[in-house]
Amino acid sequence: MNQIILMKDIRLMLKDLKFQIFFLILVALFILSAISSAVTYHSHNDEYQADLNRFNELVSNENYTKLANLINHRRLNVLSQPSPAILFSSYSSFPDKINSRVIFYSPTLDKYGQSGNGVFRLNWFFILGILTGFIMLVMSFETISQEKRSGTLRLMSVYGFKRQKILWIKYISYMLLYLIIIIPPALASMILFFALTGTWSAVFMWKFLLILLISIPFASFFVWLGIFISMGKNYRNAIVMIVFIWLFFVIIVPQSASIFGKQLSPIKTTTEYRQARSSAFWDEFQAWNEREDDRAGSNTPENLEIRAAAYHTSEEKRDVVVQKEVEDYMRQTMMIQKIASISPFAQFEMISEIVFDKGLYMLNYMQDTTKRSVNQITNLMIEQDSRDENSMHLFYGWAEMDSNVLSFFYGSDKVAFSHELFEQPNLLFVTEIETDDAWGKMVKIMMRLLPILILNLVLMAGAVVKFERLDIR
Amino acid sequence: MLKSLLEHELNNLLKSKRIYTTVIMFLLLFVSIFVVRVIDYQKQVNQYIDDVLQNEEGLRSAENYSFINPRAIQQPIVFSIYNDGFKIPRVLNIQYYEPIIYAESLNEEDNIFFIDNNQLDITFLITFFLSLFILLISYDSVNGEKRVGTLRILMTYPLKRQTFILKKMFGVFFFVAITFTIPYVISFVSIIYMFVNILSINFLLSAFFYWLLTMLFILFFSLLGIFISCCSTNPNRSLVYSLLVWILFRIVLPISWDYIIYPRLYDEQVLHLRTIQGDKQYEKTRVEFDVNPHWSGNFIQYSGEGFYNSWVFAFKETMDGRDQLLRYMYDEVYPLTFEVEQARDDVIRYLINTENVKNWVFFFNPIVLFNNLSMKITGNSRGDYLRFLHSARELRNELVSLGIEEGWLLDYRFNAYVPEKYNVLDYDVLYEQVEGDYERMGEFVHEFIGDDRYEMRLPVFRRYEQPIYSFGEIFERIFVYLVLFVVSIVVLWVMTWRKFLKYDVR
Repeated sequence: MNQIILMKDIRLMLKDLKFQIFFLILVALFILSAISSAVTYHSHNDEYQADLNRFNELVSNENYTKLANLINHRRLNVLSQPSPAILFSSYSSFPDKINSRVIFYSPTLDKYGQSGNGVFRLNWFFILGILTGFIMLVMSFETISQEKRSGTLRLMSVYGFKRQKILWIKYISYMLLYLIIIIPPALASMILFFALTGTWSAVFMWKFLLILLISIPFASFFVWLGIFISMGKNYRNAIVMIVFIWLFFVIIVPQSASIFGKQLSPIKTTTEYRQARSSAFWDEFQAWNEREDDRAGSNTPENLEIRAAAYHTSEEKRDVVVQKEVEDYMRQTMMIQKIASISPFAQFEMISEIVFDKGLYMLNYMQDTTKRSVNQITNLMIEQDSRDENSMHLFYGWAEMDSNVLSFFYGSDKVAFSHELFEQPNLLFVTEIETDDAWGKMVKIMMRLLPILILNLVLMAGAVVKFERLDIR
Repeated sequence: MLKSLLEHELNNLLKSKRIYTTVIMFLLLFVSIFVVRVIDYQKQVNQYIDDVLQNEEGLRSAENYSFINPRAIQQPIVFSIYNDGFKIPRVLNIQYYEPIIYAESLNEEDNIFFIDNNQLDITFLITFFLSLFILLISYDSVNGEKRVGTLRILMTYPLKRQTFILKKMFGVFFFVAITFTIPYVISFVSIIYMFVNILSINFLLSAFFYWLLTMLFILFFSLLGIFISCCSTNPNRSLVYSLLVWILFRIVLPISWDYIIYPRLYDEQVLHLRTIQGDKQYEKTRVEFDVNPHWSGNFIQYSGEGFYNSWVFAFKETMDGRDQLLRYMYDEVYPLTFEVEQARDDVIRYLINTENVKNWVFFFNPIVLFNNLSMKITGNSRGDYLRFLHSARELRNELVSLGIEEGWLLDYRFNAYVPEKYNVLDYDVLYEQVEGDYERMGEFVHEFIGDDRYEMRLPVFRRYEQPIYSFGEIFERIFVYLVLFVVSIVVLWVMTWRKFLKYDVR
């Protein structure tokens, strides 16, 4: 009997004009998202290839990887490669390239493509995270009221159906409907994207399926919400309220997160940071000059050791300020994320960051990788320099400049720091970024899913209690 | 008759719980967004003051002519509280031969780890929420009357259908217009009270045109809601249609343009123009460094964290070399600066054209028109950015002309570090005086200069002034699109009217 009612419900829903229109819209959007993401993927990939070519060109230039030059001018790149994840979201709020000095972690960040100003982007996150919630709400907001109006609710009650059972059947039929409207177009979208970009990968296919699975509790939340309001006396008034709740979570919370985050966790201005960096360096350098009778300022051979020590210590002082600056940026970013995470939609995007290795989740690991690379390269450079007999083994930023002075004025063969080429230039361009293992990711995903599961339970309990007390006459 | 019907309509709207909730929500959102934007604006003003002070301090402490780095600093636009517009940093650095092509930030907070896509302003409230509110208010305006039977009764009276639909339209329009205008006027007065010192005629003009545009926007959506209501006899169905139309207008059409049509149509050309700009920049850099190595390399450099000083004591050959270098920069590099700027302008102009094309393509979508027109009204569109660049370049050109006229741009004074009066010695003389002893030379120079810093007289040059738009100027910028807006409203009105003429009222 239950099965018959379930089938009846599903058949009725499938015949509903609302369902048919929404289904068509979703199919169109999923297909369009595949096309639009493929266009973006190609442009990001071109940019990535250009970065790679530029790097290859640079390292083939001997002057670029000369150890003495690496100390001062050269930079290393850590990149999160363009991937099919772009079909889900462009993660527009977070950079995906870190460029840092080779010694001392001093990052500048960049993003593929233009960040743009649009609030919405055509991708799976928009469809699954934002639009589907709205659709499930609109589809379910008259579930009970319609049955009540047509008298079928009373009839079922007469037949001895338990109210809880009726509610569960309604819920299950909506969730089945969700899968019907989501899975076929999503699969078509995924296949189309893979075909357009030639990026077929079993790993990404499973990741996309996982994200579809994770989207179920989010859809379920809106189904329960719809069922809940359909038991109200004036359900059309309630829909207005519900639309506002939806807008609040979709727009207001994520959009205002950056405004409030910046107020609650302020950072200094560009000029202040610039001045702080500069003062930290020059104050220390001046102090050395005062202590050492201006020897740090002189590049004569006998003063070079003092000069190198002064310069390097000053750089360390500047580095402390830079690290503080980076901490400030991250503190503010985390605050913005915390505020945004009030919204289930933002939570959904954060979960996808873990699944696809993107966004803020990835940025943290990119930072770790960059710091590790900086240390590794520094150690390798010092080690390689120690083998060079012509080097005075002075590890400081002005080494190359002072070596020129040495050779020009004193005709010396000695150089402050080795002029040999760095033996491992591939370390200057990093694309392999290690993140959590599968278990670690699963735990993080579950932690983020927990609030939405609890919300589901609360709404479900509320709906059951309300339905038990509902006057069905 | 129309008047009494209108009163009846407004009374009905005011009594509806649904509408009551909608209005409360709208007002809450308006107040919250307004407060957040005012706080943000106040912050921008403080940063602007810091920028100006820093700029003046920089000019005051300039030690030689090459250190003169006036900046064009754009004052935050008061009306950006309502419409944030095209966001750019507010400072343009004016350096003699550097192309002025990108704005920079001085005292703004710039979190490099977070790309802020926040667009929460009153324009967003109007295009996103107000459009939805109007549809939620009006989706059952005709079929709702039919369902309760009042439509049939009304049609038995000697009342023209045209009058009925007009009443519906004006009822919804006046209701929403009042709901918007009251908080708008209050917010407007509060701004005048809070920022009276920095208000300009631009603000008043923007406020007027913005209100006018909003009224047209409300009229369009009121008509659209009524039209949808005429298309179905079932209010539930028209609710779904309304939501669908709203999703289509607000979300699907704009993002389809931005992420599918636009990249396919224009990305290639934009890339091409950007490549030309890059090539021009590269060419300029090449020519800049393609100097005679015997000319002084001791040219002023800007490291990003401050200027490195250079001083005038040098061998005679070096001094001559410097003069030649300055002449070379003026004759060879300066013209290339214009070429780079021209290439950059071509990119911006092309982007402006694509925005205008979007307006024409979506002539039927008031959300696209409103977004674009509000930027033109406020003065923070991409076109205004181009104008800002041009103003800064004019100032730069004037400064260069002044330098040529007064002579300091092409002689030793440009890089002079010590007082001009002491600049009689050249390095050769000094070298002989200290018998080639570098250490003595350093001491001599130090003593010679003493604490007397550079006595350069800052040339009198024009500073950047914020442009002031006249009524006619703003009107001219938006006239064509305004006509488009009005035409789409008229077309929708005709469609609604004709639809209702055939509407089965039974």
